[in-house]
Amino acid sequence: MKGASLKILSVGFLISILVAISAFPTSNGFPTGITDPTTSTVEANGCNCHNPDPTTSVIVELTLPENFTAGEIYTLTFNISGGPNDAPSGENLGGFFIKASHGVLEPLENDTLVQKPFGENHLTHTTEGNDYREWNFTWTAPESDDVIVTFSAYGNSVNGADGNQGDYWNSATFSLMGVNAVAVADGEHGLSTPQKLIYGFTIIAVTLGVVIIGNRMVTKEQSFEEVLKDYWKYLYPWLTTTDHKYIGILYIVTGFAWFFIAGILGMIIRWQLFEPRLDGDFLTYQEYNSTFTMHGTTMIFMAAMPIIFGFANYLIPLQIGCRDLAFPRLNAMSYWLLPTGGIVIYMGYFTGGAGDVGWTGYVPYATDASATKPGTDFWVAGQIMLGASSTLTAINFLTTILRMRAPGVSFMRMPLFTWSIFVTVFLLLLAIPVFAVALILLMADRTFGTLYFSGSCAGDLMGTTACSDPILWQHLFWYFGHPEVYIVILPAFGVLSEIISTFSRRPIFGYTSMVYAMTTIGVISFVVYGHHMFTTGADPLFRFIVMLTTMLVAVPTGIKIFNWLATMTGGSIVTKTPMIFALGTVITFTIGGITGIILASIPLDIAFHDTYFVVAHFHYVLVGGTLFAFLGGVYYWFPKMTGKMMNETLGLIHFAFSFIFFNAAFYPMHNVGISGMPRRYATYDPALTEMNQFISVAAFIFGFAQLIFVYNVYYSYKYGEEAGDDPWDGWSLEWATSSPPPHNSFTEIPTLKSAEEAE
Amino acid sequence: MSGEHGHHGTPAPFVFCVATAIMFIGLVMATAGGENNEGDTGYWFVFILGIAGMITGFMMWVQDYWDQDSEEGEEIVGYHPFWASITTRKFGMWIFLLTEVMVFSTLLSAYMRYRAAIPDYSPDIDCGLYFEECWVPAADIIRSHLIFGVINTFALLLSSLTVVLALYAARNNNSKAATRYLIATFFLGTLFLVLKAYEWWEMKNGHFWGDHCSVTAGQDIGHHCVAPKYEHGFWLDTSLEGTTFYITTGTHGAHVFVGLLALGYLIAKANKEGYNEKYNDTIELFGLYWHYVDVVWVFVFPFFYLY
Amino acid sequence: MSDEQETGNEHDEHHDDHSFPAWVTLGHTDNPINGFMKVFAWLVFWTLLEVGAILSEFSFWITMGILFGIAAIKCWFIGSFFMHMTWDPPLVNRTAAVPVFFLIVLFLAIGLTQPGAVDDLRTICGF
Repeated sequence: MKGASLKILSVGFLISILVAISAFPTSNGFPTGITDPTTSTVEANGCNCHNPDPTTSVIVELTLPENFTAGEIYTLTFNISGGPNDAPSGENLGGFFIKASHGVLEPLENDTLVQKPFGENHLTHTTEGNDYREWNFTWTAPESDDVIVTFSAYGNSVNGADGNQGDYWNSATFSLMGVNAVAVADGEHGLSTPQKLIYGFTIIAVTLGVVIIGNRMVTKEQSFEEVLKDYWKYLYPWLTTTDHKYIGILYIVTGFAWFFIAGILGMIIRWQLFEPRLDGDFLTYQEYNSTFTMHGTTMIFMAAMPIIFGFANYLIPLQIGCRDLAFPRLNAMSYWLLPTGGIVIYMGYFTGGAGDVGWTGYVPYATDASATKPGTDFWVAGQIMLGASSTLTAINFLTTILRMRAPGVSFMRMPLFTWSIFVTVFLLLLAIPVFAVALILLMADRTFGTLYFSGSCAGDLMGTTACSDPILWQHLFWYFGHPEVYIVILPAFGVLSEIISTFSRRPIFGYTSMVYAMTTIGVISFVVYGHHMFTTGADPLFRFIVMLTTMLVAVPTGIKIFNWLATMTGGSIVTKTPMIFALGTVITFTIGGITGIILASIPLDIAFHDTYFVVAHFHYVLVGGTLFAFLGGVYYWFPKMTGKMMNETLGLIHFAFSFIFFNAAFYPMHNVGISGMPRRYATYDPALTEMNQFISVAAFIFGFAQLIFVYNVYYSYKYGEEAGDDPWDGWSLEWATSSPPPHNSFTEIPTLKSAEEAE
Repeated sequence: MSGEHGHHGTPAPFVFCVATAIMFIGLVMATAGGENNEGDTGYWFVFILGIAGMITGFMMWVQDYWDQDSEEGEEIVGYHPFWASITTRKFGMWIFLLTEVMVFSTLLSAYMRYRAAIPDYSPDIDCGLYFEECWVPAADIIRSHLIFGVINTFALLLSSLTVVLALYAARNNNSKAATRYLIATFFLGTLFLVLKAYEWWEMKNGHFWGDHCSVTAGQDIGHHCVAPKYEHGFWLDTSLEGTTFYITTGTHGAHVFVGLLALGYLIAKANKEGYNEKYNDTIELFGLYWHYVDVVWVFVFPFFYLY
Repeated sequence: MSDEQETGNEHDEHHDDHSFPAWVTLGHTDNPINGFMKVFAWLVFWTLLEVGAILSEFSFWITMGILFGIAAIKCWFIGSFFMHMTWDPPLVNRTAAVPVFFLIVLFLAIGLTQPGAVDDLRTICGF
């Protein structure tokens, strides 16, 4: 019995293996024409089953009229000639695939050589048509005759035999203008959507100003000068303050304002990517480049960093027990460089197009004539100002934290938020100057024609040595760029530590290891930057070292995550909005961290570099890490800064919508990235349309959900309940002073007791 | 809105930043704006307006210090002896100098990268018809007129000495001597910039050399002639050697220039007997910056002028 | 209770005689001014050596060594005496030492990696 069933089983197994093997798709030619599921492959890669690359000697031609009138039917002829298989007759000679961007292609009546596969809108050959190299078909013009139609065609010159060896193919696109079509010159597209929005906002702001001033003039019967004087009396202290608390609030408000502007740019990106689009459909491809460039630059330099500096400004002196920063006026200058620098960056929108070179500004795009001008120059100049701002901030905070701590505030008793800012400004101090120099060199290349990045190679075509090196830019940028991303995440770690310990009702687990973890992360961050350059042909030893150190930096990060979890496990959790955000942050940041490890592996990175997998990764760590942590921080410290509590219900709703729709928007990006969707492209393979639509819808909801937060801030500021000095029962020094703190923060310099000594 | 340390609110930072933005807008539009994006020269007026605003902001800023003649009540109490062993401002200046270290190190690394990648000129290798495939350093061109670079080096070293002497004079309540030493520093710094401008002018216009080199004739670049690629002058867009030379020495020169601006303020204040044995920190802080600029030159000089 | 501890008025240090190392001043110095002038003389001396080294045209590595060495020596003179580091508290020395590691990374990663470097690990590891 056993032997028999074993036999049956093994025979059955063998048969199923054989069936599986025979069912396995083999790469064959398609003498029956290109149909689903091959269509998308051919659209993406051409006839690469026959040959990986096109052969330029194969000529594909399409006869077209000069232009078209709406609704007319034209007969077109497609033919292949030339190439190694230019034999006169026989069987198995040719194949083709043609698609039109507008209008309808149809085979001729009773034509057996051409087919339009069911459910598709392209034409291809039939089995009989496979024996020819010329085919005729009709095309019906679209209803609007002011468009330019594009025909994408592939032709395969077959060698007369079966199979796909020895065949050569080529592709071509053909344009056909309607009678009323106007050729769009480069860069002329009227105002792009972002430009329209910015002009619109400016007009609205000016109108609002006029209305407000006019209203006051009427209702208070004041003259124009008197109204302005009143407003000036209110405004002047804000323009001239050197108090860290007011500067902190300025930073936070400005940061969130730019965050919303960059968020709108993000929504424009997702609308563009709602479905595959042609150039100029919604945005031109160049405008799209500006949009993602400005989205990235604004989010990192004008939203994330200012919000971080805002909280740092407000809290550090309170947490270490001093009255203000070491250099208050320098602090004010650091702040004012931000809105002014931001305006310089955005001047591009008013002068023909904002910078469009990616927030990473890679050369040769950035030095080429194709980069917007002067938009890219404004982008460079504004960032130099922002770099100066950050450097001065770093000098200020390092001096303050090192020198001005109150008695009892030794290093190992500083709150973890202070430690995180300390490591952050240390990184800023050393990394920003490198970026500033790189920007200046870029500006010199663009303005004075220097050759740091942009020189062409002199000498013969065989490749000489005396060329400028575009990779130098990448080294300089990422030497700064990688510490930069730790600069935006370390303060989030600090905020998490504060919130989690307060709302677990116990000091953070493993304080010492948390400190060492942050300092280790800070130092290692300078050595790992090469992982952004795995595909540049960099020195393999360099890449190898970088891969190891990048994976290594996960260890201290993991220690921090486990410490937070241990803190919660050993404590009793109070579920208020700040804590909910902190919990959400830990989850999403961990996911982002894991995809970071995936990207640290060189072979995987080579596949995923510049795909949406990377976009998913960094949004998980930046939005899921930095943004969520600092939203939690706002809920946590708003009572201290304003003396009012924020509304819990609105806070939870805000969190629920944000968390759910953030994940809904960004998680699928991992999938589309693995499917190969490239980043920074204004369109994509139609096969990914549904995924992208899902992402776009989720992203829109995520964006609109932030309005709940804005409303909560406004409502609570006006009508929130009184907070008292220490609504959350925290024990770091900021809770020892009133809400909001008095003008010089402490009436007398306090002495720090540890958490166990405090009540 | 009162604060400690007498730092009441001040409009200087706001004014300075707005002026900086105006300056950059003018600069960018003047070099890249206009119809063909080749520059709209009308915007140079905006640029100058911005510079004027920056100077105004600077003057508003130092107004507080103009009448100050002692540090009493100014210094912040420090509770941790190691970290409070020097004044806050001195500590801040040292931390600022760390950023400057990174700035010049970046420029030097970029130079090192190119210099290591491209072989130096040598008669043994094929440099191409115009020597375009070899590195023909600025040093070779300067060699015949090295005296200016050497004078500049001495000028900067001497200026470091004069700053130290000015500081000691102020500490000894000798305002006249302090003023004179600061003026000497200013003079030496200006001499440095003037000689540098002269060197640059000569190199840019190709006046520094005699015969032209010919690879076939086996002429020796370093001593006798100049490479054909520099026939029409040696400027920052001529070649990588030019770019790295002018940008690095130019950045250094810009730092000297900014130092001279600060020195102007110091001289004016020293002249009205603003520095004495109780209040002379500002000279020391300026000195730290000035010595650092000298240290940078100590590295730039051999690797750009000599080699 | 806060335990206020005023910083020492470090101006006081400057009023004692600075002690220059004996080899710098080649003998006694009665006041710091002379000491600084002697430092200046040393700087001039080393500069002349530098220029002489170039004019003597040694081989590449010797030239590099001399130039870099002399630059380091001059830097040491300026830092120690003009910038007061010899007589300053250790905080200053340690602050100045901070960038060293990051500079090494910068120079190695940017200065010494090159496009067109050897492209496979096998050759690098010498198999």
